[in-house]
Amino acid sequence: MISLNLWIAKFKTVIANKHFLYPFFFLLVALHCTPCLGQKKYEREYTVKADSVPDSAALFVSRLFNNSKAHWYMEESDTTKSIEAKLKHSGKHYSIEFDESGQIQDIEILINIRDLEKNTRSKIKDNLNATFKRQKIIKTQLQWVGSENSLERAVLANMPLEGIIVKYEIVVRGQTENVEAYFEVLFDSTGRIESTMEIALANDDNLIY
Amino acid sequence: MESRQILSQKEIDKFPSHRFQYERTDLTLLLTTKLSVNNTIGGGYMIRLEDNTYYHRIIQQFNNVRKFEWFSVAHRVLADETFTNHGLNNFRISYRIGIQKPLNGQYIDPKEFYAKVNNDFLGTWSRGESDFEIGILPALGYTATANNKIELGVDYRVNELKKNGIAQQFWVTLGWFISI
Repeated sequence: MISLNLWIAKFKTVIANKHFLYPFFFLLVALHCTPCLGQKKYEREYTVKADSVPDSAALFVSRLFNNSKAHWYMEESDTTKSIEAKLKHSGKHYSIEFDESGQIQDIEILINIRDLEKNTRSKIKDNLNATFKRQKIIKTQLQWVGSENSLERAVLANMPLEGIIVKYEIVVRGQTENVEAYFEVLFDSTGRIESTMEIALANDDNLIY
Repeated sequence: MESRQILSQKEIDKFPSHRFQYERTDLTLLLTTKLSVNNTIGGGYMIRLEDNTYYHRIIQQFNNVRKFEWFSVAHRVLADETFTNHGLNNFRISYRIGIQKPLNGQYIDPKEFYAKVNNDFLGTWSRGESDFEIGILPALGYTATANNKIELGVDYRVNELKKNGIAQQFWVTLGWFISI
């Protein structure tokens, strides 16, 4: 109790002298002068109108998904630009990616990890456990890569046919040795990891202050 | 830093006043650290000048922010204690839920607008009295650069719910968020 009273007395003295303002202003100035120690890769994504995408891309989507409304996005990074159509068709969520000229790159279909064949699912989970100390699958997408004709036939058949390379793109919240973050992990058809990329999250500071 | 100016006010059984009036200025220093990718805790100090009196506030807060496909949801639980020269002035606990959605595409990128709505619930205990306040704060935001955001919105609050006539406050808010 004595130490508490002493602490309160000191606090009142500091307040009376208004000296408490000095460290506060010093901290404020120091924080504004903190040098930037790292850079983030600049990526931008924005909506584009259907009539401003290349004809070949618009035709591919309207031909295969004629009753579904597509939302079009342009994705720009430091080095590349791509166009993506997102739509829901026959109860499934599709993302169809094209390059800037309208050449199709891949088709992604949102699935549940439980929809995968048991052996593939086990290999994916084993590889995730080997990569991360802790992890949780947030989103799973089936990725089909192939020629335009092969992709068209696969969509119509609702299954990957000859000429289609199947991959799995999985977003996980994972903890590595140093950091917990969201990662996009690409697996081949056997469940082997092809690439792992940390997802740079947007600054949401305005939501917490 | 936050500053408030009153443009119009009315008390029960009195005529409204539309005179410009300085209300207060707050200077807050809040430091947060990540517990995990979605969770942060923070603490800070605020000094307020109001009616020629300095108020000192100690702040503790926990935040959870989750990004979904098309929007972000933030939960904030905050406790603070406010002191004056005469000792503890009040103790408050608040919960705030906020939803933020880009107005162009799935992510809020530089040079894009976004919409944000906060809804907060605030309990205050002050010298044996308690009060409960509810606020809703819709805002339109603009991301000028990755580290600069500007928001224009309104802040509508009701409190003194236990009394006969509830008190209502309507603020226009202009915010500038700089990440360093």
